[in-house]
Amino acid sequence: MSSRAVAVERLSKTFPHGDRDLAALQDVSIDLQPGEFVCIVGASGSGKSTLLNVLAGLETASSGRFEVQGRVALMFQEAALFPWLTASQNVELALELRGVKPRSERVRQALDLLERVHLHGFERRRPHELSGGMKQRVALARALAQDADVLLMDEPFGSVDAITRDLLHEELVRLWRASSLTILFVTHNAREAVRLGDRVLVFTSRPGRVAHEFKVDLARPRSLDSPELAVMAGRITDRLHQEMRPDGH
Amino acid sequence: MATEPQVAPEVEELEAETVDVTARPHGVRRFLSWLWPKLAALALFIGIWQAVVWSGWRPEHVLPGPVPVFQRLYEDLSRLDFYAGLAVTLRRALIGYAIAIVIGSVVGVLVARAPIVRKAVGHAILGLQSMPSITWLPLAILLFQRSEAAVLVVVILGAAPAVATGLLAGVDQVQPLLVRVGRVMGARGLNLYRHVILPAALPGYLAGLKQGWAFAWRSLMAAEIINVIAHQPSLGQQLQIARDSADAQQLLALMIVIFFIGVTVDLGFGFADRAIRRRRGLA
Repeated sequence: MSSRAVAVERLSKTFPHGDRDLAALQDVSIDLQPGEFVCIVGASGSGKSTLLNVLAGLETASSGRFEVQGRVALMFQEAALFPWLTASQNVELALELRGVKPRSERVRQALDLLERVHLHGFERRRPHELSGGMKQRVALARALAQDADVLLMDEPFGSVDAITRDLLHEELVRLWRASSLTILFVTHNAREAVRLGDRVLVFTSRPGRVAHEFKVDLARPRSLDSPELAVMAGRITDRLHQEMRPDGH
Repeated sequence: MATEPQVAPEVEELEAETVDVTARPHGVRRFLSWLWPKLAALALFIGIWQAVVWSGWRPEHVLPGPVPVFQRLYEDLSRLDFYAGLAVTLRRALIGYAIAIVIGSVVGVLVARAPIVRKAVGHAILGLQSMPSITWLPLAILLFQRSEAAVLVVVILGAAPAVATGLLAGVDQVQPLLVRVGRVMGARGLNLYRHVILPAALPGYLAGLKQGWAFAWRSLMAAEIINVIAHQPSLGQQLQIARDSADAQQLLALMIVIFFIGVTVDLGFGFADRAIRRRRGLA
């Protein structure tokens, strides 16, 4: 089944914790079709980030298999821009590490990418001169610069204010629809997940497992304030509570 | 901003916030407000010095006052052989310091990269740093006789551990998240060091370079005073000669020169440090 963009099969990950092992992920199986936007919702510590780290190659799985078609980019909750580089240079570095030559071509592409995330005129600012939302825009441009086929996003808008987040949602969806990107987006916010995803996977905590899958067939563009979205998010939140209850509440 | 619909909406707000940051005091006034406390401290020091001389605590040929000393300094500065000595000392300092930077940086990266190297020599480097490097001079003289090499050994052993320690501290303090970002972007091995870890470690490295310079300078002075090499009229050697000939004016004039060089280099490091911090939004 090589037509899948991401194929995860019975993936498990344990961490040594004192003298015993702690299971962060247990038998996680996920499939993403090319061009699909899938959200994972779960409480903190439910192994969502671990899953993305494994898929991005930052950690190794304890057992199970996974396959990702093409290049992978990963965005974190913090923008994690390099503070010694300007916005443009941050994007240029991603291009350079991808092998884009010569420098003038990198500069041109960086300019273009920053314009696509609406940061025209801010190319030469340094990260500390940018607001939280703008930093995440640069991080998004940097992720796009990696020319990835699969974009993994680990609560990327968790630390920006609600209004900025809504704008960023809109732009992420716009960029996604204009491309062939496959996106796996992790959040603890059910409304955000319903706003963005074609599907929403509910994760249990300790160990992380896929407990339930919701198909979101609301028409796009979606509004955070629409009643349908709120109803669906409510159902997901209920399901989340249900999953968390047996575990120490 | 209405003419720029392309720009993200939260941008407007940010532009408004940054307006008064540019309202800094004027350049000349800032320089003066930086300068006058230093001049005041200097005046106070010279005043106390003069007062001690006037009190007759020591005869004037042992402790001369500021006026004859500065006159002597002025005479020195118009003598050609004084500059020859200064050149010898500065050449030794720069060569020794440069070698120390190379050795310290290589050792620092090795210790940072390889846990086994860290376990093996990590403490040794710290121990070396707390050891006065002049204690190496007798051994260096045995090995290299009274030569340039003996002086350089002392300077290098004084400065290199500080450089290595600074780089190591810098690397250790790099945010793990930045390293992960670098790895996700495809930077591995040497590329990861070149593009992420070393630039991120720069502030710590600079602190190590600064401390390394201080160690190099004081090690050099000690070595020059003890290890007198014929036909090399270095600052330290002139200092020793001034003592031997009981020429207190010359001695104090030389000390002023040595102090002035130290302060100048320190100012340079201060500017570099502030520039780096400002660029990164740390100051």
